[in-house]
Amino acid sequence: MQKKMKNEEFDHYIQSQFADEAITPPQQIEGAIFEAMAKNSRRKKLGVIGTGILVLGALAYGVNGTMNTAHVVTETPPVAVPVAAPVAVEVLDQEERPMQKQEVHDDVLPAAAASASIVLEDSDPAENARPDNLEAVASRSVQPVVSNSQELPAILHETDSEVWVMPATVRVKE
Amino acid sequence: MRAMEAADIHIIERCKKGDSNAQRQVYARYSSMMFAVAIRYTNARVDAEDVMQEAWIKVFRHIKSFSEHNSFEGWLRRIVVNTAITHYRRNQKHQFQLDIEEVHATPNDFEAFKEIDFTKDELAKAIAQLPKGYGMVFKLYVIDGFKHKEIAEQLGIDLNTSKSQLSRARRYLQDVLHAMSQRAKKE
Repeated sequence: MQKKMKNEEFDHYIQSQFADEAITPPQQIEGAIFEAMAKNSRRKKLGVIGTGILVLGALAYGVNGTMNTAHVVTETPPVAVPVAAPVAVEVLDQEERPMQKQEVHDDVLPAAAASASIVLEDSDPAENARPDNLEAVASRSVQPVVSNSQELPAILHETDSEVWVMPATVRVKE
Repeated sequence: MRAMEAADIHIIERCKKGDSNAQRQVYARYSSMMFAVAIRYTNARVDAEDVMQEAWIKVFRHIKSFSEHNSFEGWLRRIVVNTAITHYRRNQKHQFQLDIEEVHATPNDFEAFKEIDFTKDELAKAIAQLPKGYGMVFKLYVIDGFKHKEIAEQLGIDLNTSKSQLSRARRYLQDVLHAMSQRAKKE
């Protein structure tokens, strides 16, 4: 006659059989495990060294940059720059720029657009405008300087008897 | 499971500091247990070696998280079992659905095996014959003491599937062991 065994009893029986299970692993596994771990630690160390080098490099670059900046500053002493007439012209030029730019723009654009209309049809309008602007600015930047420098003696003639005291004490003579 | 002794704690502390001699000592002491668990779950030496290697690397990488208040052997066993599960899931994605169709009955009790003394090897052979899905649930629940909820989470199956797989595994194992005992009686 067979005796019934409860599930729990059977489970316990099986569990007890596997309580001290042990099978000796092959020797090469140990080597493989510790080799893999050594590789990992080497990689970690290299990573740390690499990060250190990067940080040092960045620091050195930063320090070098700061030193260069300081060097430049010391090389150019804050001495009053002798301002000659052309500077005044330049100031005038800058003040007049918005108006002149508009004028040149109006003058140059139709001609440029007419010549470049086929080539630039599919491209970005902003990009199209840029060469024209540059061209316009280029043409503008030459002309006013020439014209102003030509006008300058006339202005100076008017103030013949006066001595202009500017930040750098510049005397303008004929 | 072995109780944590002062010497064990000292070796573990050294392992936490990355002492490779201590790591080798721990390996020497527990590798046989780890390998047996890996073989039980994979049923193949080659796969067991992969699981073993992966598990030991995890052990040493995460040993800092081990608390001395717990059983170290239990902690190691969990790691190798979890690694075996990952390995199983990686390789046997569609096995579970096939297994479900294979067994029909779900018994409540086992017939008397108390008189028949199965050796551990015989039991291991019988368990290895279980279809993979059943075998996995059976080993996790019966031998390694996982709960159905944990098994369901680990294997990515439903809680009821885990329960039914265990019942079917028991039935299957009963048939296998019964056949083995009949053969033994005849001999």
